[in-house]
Amino acid sequence: MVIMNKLYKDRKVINIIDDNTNLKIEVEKDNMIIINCFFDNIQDMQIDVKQFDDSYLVINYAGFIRENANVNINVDVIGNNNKTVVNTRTISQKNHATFEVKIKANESTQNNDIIEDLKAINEEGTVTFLPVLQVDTKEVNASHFATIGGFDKNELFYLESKGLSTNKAKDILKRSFIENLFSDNFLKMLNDRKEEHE
Amino acid sequence: MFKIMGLTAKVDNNIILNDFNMEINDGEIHVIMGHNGVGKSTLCKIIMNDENYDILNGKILFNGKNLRDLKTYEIAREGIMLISQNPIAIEGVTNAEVLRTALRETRNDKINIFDFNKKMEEVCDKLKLSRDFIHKDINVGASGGERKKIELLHMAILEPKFIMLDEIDSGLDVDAIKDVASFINEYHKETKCSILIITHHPNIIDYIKPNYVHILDEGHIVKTGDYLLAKQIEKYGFVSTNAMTEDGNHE
Ligand SMILES: Nc1ncnc2c1ncn2[C@@H]1O[C@H](COP(=O)(O)OP(=O)(O)OP(=O)(O)O)[C@@H](O)[C@H]1O
Ligand SMILES: [Mg+2]
Repeated sequence: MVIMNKLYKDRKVINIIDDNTNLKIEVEKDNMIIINCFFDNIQDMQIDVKQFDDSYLVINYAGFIRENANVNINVDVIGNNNKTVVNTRTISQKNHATFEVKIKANESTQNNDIIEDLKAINEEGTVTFLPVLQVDTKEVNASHFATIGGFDKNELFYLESKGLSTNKAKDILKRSFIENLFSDNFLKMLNDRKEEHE
Repeated sequence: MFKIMGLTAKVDNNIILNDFNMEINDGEIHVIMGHNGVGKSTLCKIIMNDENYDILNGKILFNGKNLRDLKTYEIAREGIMLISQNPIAIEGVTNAEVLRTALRETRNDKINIFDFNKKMEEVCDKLKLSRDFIHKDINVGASGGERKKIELLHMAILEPKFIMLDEIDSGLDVDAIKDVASFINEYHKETKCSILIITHHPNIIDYIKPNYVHILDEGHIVKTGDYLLAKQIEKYGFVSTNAMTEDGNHE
């Protein structure tokens, strides 16, 4: 998913499961931070990140929408040569959630790489993505994708033609939709937690 | 018995099948040939009740049940399986997971994971397919030929009674065709299943002997023969073969 072509001085992973406490962090020079968030029930939350120079930030945000919620992710790119990646994968089961993902790179910055990739599957609920790339400089490489859809018909047909009921096939596709975002380590944490619950 | 009566179907407002009829008795092997775009893959997907296709008329019967009344997964559970021309890849879902889930759902009984894994490994070995694929995502990073073998792995585990092989031979090298054919022959011998083979090359029927070979054109079968009909097609093409009036034509 992300190609690392640089060694970072410090690599930190922040794992968040079902905890919607607001988060405020800074990514210092030459550092890399990965923030993994999973929510069984997405709630209001705000994440604010400042990025300085030569740093790498990845935010992976996934979960189920069951209640109305507003999620704000703000990244302020202050220095140069940074990479910023924000991925969301949500499944709207009920009600509505809004994701505002705002990444700012001001006039004096150079050579920053910004990617926003926001994807959702809508079941009975809905989602609004507001991807904001506020870049006041041409010295930036920024792109954003936002896709909201249902299930992939070909994938459903494939699984059903192996005998899986429609619901089972959807369950499997939902799980893979979310899991494809995360590393094995984080997935293991998610699984362990599920087993504790059972 | 599998039987199609008067099937007319369209996709995107084009009639692809027009009063199509066909009957396959238990244990029989039939072949359908026909030029590109004539509707061979469409026929297979309609049998599986793919919602992209509209059936206007006709019946599709399997052991007395009208498949038109059933959903795709119910058709699969009746024992019908399609190995499609271009099996898709699904990221994040492994072959083992799909097969385990399918067995759990369809056979209500608990499956013994040890036996299940052992069988998968045996099948991979027979197919000369790397065992690694068992726990890899479905068809992800698999070559065209490997995908066909992965689908045959699914077949061996799910044990269908009627199998449609849509160009199973495309993408297979000469040795792989022999391996795949002997695998299918063995399965056929063991299970007495019925098979519908779609192909452009009589090569595969050198190894899997069919009872009948049909030519599909203008929405229905225009000629039926045996193995020799496939050879004629290879030699003379569809146009001249259709015009011939020798044996094999029992319409
Ligand atoms: N989902 C679809 N949407 C639109 N058109 C379709 C669809 N599926 C098939 N068709 C059209 O229906 C016709 C029959 O296609 P089909 O794939 O059944 O041909 P085929 O006989 O299998 O050909 P080939 O030998 O090339 O595999 C073609 O004209 C094709 O373009
Ligand atoms: Mg085809």
